[in-house]
Amino acid sequence: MRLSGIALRNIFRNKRRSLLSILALAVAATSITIFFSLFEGIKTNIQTNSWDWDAGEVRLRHAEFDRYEYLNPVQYVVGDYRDLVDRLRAHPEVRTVSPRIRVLGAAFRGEQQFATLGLGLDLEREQEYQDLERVIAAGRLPRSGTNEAILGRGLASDLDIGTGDIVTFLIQTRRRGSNAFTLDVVGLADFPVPQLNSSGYILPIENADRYMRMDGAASEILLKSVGGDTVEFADGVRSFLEESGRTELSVVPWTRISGGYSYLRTAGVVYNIVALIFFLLASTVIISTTMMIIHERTREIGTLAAMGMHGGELVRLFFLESAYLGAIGSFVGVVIGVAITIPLSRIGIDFGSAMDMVEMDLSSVLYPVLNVRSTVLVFFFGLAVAMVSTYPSARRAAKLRPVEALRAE
Amino acid sequence: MITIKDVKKDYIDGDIKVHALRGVSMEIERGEFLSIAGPSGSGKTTLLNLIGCIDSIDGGEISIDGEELARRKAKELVEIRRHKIGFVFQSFNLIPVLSAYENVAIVLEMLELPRGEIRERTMTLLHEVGLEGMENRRPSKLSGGQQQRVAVARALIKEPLIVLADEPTANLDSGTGEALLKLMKRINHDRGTTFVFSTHDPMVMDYAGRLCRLHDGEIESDEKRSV
Repeated sequence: MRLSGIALRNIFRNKRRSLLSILALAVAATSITIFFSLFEGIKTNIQTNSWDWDAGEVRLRHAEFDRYEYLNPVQYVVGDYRDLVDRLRAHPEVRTVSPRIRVLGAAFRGEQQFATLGLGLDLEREQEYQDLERVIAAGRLPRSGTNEAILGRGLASDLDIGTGDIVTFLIQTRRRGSNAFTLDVVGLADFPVPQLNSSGYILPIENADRYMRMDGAASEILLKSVGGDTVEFADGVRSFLEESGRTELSVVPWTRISGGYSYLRTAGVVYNIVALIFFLLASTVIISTTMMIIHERTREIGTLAAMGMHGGELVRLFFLESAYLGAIGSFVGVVIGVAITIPLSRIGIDFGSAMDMVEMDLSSVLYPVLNVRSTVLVFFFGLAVAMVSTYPSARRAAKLRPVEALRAE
Repeated sequence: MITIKDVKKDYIDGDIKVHALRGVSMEIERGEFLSIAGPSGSGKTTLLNLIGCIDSIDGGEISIDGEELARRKAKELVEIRRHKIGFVFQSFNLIPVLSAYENVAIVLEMLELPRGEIRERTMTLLHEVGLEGMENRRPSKLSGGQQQRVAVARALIKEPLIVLADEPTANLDSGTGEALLKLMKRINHDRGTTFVFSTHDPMVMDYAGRLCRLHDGEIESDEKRSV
């Protein structure tokens, strides 16, 4: 009978107590698995939304626009974007390119005015950049070169219009003049970003060019890389632009643009601390259980020591017991966590209007994402916590003088 | 084999210093069947604990096979216990989650002997102490006498230099106690194993080849007897 065998049998000595330890760890592991999966889902959601709708992985703009963005300096544009887009597409590190014209303006319903943001997209090529069909809630996508648009559901609701209606926008052109145009609403969109939902619409880039008097320029070009480090990708694009003589353009990675990314960095630390607190709470159960076990088995410890068992072997014996409890508790916890997360990752968790108040690219429906961190790491962390929690008590047991241990009742 | 020279041991009981042993000296030879007798508090268990390397000496010397105990580090004392000393306790002190076989075999596993040898030696000894067919029973499924036989087998399995038995019959009825004494006497005779008992049971004293009486931490009498 090896130490591992004795340890395994010991956990069945007081089934209720062992069950309590397992339960404490399982609850912690389940909570953290769901918690980390949700965080991973938030991370994926913010990144996807930011890449698709706001900053791309890397965003190209006129440097002066970036500098004076707070003034909405629409005169600073990416000139001759079509040629640049073609050359960027040929770049080996670039996967997809999305030129965009941002159309800031307003729409009216009676006396009421609503701020709007139109996105002029190259609708034929945008499909390479992202799947636009997924945002269609009703109707269809607009066709290139037409006066068609799809509206965010919130905006459509504010304006009290739907598919088949028309809508007029008042905008400021590149030359800082005013313009107004009317579009046929051919569809409604459920944009994943709440703010875009309440004020956004999509129209063909050719029409946006015309309404904004862009003369073949775009507001910005969003890029996605073939993979790898975003900052290195941005550096590569910057070098490419310098070689191409387009030094007026700035290249900014999404990590510097997205408010969500800053949130993720802060939240990541906070979430890790919360996870640690969960496990610390579970560890208090393990610590008290081990202390009770050692108190109850003091004479047994004395007997083993009298038989010639070394302190290190005694520590190992208690470590192994905790390892079994930790492994069972963490495994059960992670399995339950996974079982809860899998359906949630399909149906999503709807945070509803609560997300409207969040000023970042975060959807109101979030889909938890299971990964190595939320499963394998949680399991091993639970195991480690169980074992480390045992150490002080086990060490104390190993240091007991046999003669005193044998006197214990 | 075991030399005890002017051994002293004090305990602190509250504010009072208790002199458990006040300079005990004796020699224990190989193959002896020695009973240390005396009333409660006379120091017999303390003396056994000191010989068994599970308590520290305050004065004097104990040497086992020429090895002076007082100068040994804790780890070296564990090694002496592991290889040279077997214990039989008044309350048997078997590990409840292990079977009779495992309670005995664990001692040889600590010595890292081959599995086959462990099995053979353990089964032979369990048979010798009359526990054939009970190898797989856990202590809770054994009678007091059977449990103490397992404890004796556990103490003997490593073929120690000395077996220390602290009041081994105290928790047994007289019939079972006598059967156990006969068993240990037979092993002492057949194997030449040295046994040292602490007891205040007259029956144990009757079986002893040498009877050493302690009183207030001092040797009152020490006589060899023919049994």
